[in-house]
Amino acid sequence: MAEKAKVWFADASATNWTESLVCKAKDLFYEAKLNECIEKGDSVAIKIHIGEWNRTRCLRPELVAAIVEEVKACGGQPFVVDTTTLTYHAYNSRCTGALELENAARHGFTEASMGCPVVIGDGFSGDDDVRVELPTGVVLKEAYVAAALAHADAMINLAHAKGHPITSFGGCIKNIGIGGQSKRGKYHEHLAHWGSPEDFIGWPASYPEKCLGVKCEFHQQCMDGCPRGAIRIDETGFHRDTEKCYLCYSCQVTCIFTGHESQTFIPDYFPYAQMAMSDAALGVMLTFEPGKVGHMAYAIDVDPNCDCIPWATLPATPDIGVFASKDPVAIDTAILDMIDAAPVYPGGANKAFEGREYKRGQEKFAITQGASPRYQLMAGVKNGLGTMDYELITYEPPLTREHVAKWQIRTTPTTLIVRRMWEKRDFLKEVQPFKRVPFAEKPPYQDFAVPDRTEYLKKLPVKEWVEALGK
Amino acid sequence: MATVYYLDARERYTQGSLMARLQMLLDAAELPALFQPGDWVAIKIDVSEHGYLDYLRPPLIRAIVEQIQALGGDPFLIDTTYLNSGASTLSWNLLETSAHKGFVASVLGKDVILGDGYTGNEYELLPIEGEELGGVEVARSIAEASALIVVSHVTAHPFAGLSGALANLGIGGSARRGKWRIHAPLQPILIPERCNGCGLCMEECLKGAIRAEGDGLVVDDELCAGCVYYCTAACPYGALVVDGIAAQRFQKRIVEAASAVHVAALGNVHFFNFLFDIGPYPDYYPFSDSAIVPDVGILSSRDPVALDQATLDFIDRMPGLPRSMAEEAGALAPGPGKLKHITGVDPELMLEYAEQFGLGTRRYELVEVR
Repeated sequence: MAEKAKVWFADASATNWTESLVCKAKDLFYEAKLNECIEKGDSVAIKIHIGEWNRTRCLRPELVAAIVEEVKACGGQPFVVDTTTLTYHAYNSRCTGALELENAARHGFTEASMGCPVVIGDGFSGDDDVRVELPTGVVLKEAYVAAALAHADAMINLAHAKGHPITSFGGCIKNIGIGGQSKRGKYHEHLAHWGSPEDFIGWPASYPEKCLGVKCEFHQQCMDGCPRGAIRIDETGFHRDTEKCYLCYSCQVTCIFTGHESQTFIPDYFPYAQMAMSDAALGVMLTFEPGKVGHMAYAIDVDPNCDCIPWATLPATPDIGVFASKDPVAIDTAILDMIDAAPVYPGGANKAFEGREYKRGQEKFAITQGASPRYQLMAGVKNGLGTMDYELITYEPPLTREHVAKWQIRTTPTTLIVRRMWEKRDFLKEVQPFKRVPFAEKPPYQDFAVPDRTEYLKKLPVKEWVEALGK
Repeated sequence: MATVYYLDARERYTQGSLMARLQMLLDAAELPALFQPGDWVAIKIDVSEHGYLDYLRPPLIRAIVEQIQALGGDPFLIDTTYLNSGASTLSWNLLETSAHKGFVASVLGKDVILGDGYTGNEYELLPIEGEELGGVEVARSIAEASALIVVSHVTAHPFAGLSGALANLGIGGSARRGKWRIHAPLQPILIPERCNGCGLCMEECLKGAIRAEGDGLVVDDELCAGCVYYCTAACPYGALVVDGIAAQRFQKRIVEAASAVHVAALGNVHFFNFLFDIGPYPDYYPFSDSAIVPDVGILSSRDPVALDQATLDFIDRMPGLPRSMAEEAGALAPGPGKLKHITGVDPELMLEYAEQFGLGTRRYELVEVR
C-alpha cells in the first residue's frame, strides 16, 4: 500500500466558459476516470446531501445535475439518492421519506431538475436496509446500509465538503458514512446505548441541575422533540427515561442551540462518532464490487455547519473548488489540508462558538467544533477504507474552441438560431429608431457621479466594518 | 393521392403493445425530410382546458419528443393560449392547469411553452386570400421553428363537426387574436323556450354580452365576440345554439387559418391524429363527456386533409357507443355521417373547402403499420 492515492482538484475561480465549476466538475469526472466505474446499463446511485429545510448552503441543483448528465453519457441509469434522518431537531424535515421528498423539491432536487428520479434510499420510514458485517471495524462491527445504495450497481459519492457539529468535518466519508446508512444504521453509529448512561457516550451528557425546568422557554420543544417521549420536564426538573433514549441528539440540539447547558456532549464523544462513521462508510463500500464507486466533493460554501442544520452561517474559508478521487480517505484528507491552508473567510467563525477565531494553517474545524476532524481519516486508514497518502493533481481546463463548446447548453452556438430568426423577421427594426434623448443632447454622465460615501458607510450598524474604515 | 399510415389501437401481447409498435409509425412518417439536425422542431399539442379529462396521455407525446431528439432535431412543445384560460387570460394560468395534468418536463421530456406569448399576443400576421379571412395571426413560435409536428386528439366538434388535424393546425396554430377572428361568426342564438334564466351562461361570458331582459336572457350581438364555448358549455338546457350558416363560416375560417399556419411553418409539417377517447367535445371544452365511438388507433400523414378524411371514414365505420351522445343522436350503427348526426354540423364540408383551398387532397391510400 505504498502507492499514493490520486486526488484531482480544480479551483473555484473562473474567468471564462471552461472554468465554470460545473464544467470543471464534469472534466474531473473524466480526469479521475470515474466514468470507468460505470458499465452500460448500470444502475448508478448519485449520493448527495439533500439538505435540511431552510438550509441555504446546500449544493446548487445544477452541481448535481452536471454529474447526472455524465453518468447518463456513460450509459448508466442514474438516480439521485439521500436517506431519511434521525429526528435530531424538533422540526426535522427529512425524518420520513415523504417529508424528505417535499424538502428535496424545495431545494430544487426534483426529477425535472435532475433529469433522473430522486429516491429516498431507506424507504418511507427508514428501515429499508441491508446489514453488512465489518470485521475490520475499529468501533462498529456491523453497518446497516440503505437498500438503494446496497442494491445499486455503481455509485458516485457526490459530497458537499463542510464542517459538522459532531463529526467536525463532513466530506466524502460522511456522505456515505452517515448519509448512506438507514435509520437503523444512523442510530447504531450515533453509538446509542454504548456503555452506560453515566459514561455520557451512548447517552447525552446530562446535567439536570443546569436545566431551567418549566421556566425554560424551550422546555416544551425539548419534550416534544424526543421521538421516544423519553423526556419529562416538570416542577421537579429534568428527567430522562434512559431505557427509551435512542440518542438522536434532539434534546441536545434544542438545549445547545438555544444557549443552554443541561443536555450536551462530552469531548470524548466526538472522536468516537468520527471513527464509527468511517466504519459505517466502509460498510457502504463493501456493498459494491471494487472499482464501482467514484468520489467527488465540492468544497464551496464551506460552512462550519453541515447541510443537516436548518440554517447556514458564514463560511470558514472562501470557496476552494471541486475534488475527485477513487479513494474516499485520500479525497477527504486533501480537502481538509486545503481547508486548513486556505485563508480565513472574514467574520467566519460559528456564532454559536463565539470567541474562537480561525487562524490560517490551524485545524479550522477543531477550533469551532471542539475536536480535530482527522480522527475519521485515521479510522478510515485503520479499517481499510483508504489511505491518507495522496498525490494532488491540480487541473486547469484548456481554453480551446472545442473545450468552450463542450459543456454548453448546445454544442453549436445558439446565436445561429437567433440569426435565422432575425433573417425571417427583424422585430427590432420595426420599432427603430428608439425614442431617446438625441445623442448630441445627452446629459454629461459626470452629473450622475456619486461623491464619496465614506460618511454614510461609517453610519452602518456593523461595528467591525465601521472600525475597519478608520476615522 | 396522399398516404395515410395507420396503427391499430388493439394490444394483444407485450411486444404488440401500443408503445412498442408506435416506433414503427414514427419511422414510417419519414420525419428527417422535414428538418436538418440541430433545427428547432415545434410539436403542437393540446394541454386541454381546466375540467377536461380525456386529453392525450403524456407518454404518447413523450415518444414523439424522443423521436425528434433521436433524429437529431431540437424539439420543443407548444400549445397556444385559449380564448379564455380559466379565470385568467395569462399564460401562467394555463400552464398551471396543464402541470396538474402531467404536462411537465419530467413527464413529457420537455416543458410546454405557450407558443403565442404571455398574453397570447406574440404572433406573426400572415395574409390569406380567403372568402372569410384576409389574414390571421399565427403563433410566433411556429413561425420561428423549422418544422412543425401537429399532434391532435381527435374528437367531434359542436361547431366544426370534427376536431382533428385541420382544427389543431388552424385554431391551435393561431395566436389568441387569430382565434378570435376564426370564432367571430359563432355568435350563439338563445332559444327562449329552453332558457331557464339560471344565468350560468352570464357568469361565463367574458364580454358581458349576456344580460337579463324581462323574464329571460338575451345575447347582445354587439358585445358577443363568438368565443362561444363558455356560454354554450355552461347551459344545462341546450338553450344556446349556433346556426348552420355560422358553423359553415367557422369551418371555412379554420381552413383558411390552417393554410396560413402551414405557410408559416414553411410547409414542413407532419400530422398525427390520435383516435382515442373520441368524445363529443374538443380539448378546449371545460368537460369531456363519454366517448362516442370506440378507440381506433393512430393515423399519420403529411396531408392534413387526407388525414382528417381518413379519420372521418374510420369514425363512420365504427359503431356508436351506448351511454354516449351517439346513442342520444341515434347514431349507434356503423355508417356515414356519424359526426353530422351527433353535432348537427357536417365535417365533410370543411374537408371539401380545404381541398378546394389547396391544403391537400381527400383521396388517400391507407397503409397499415404492423
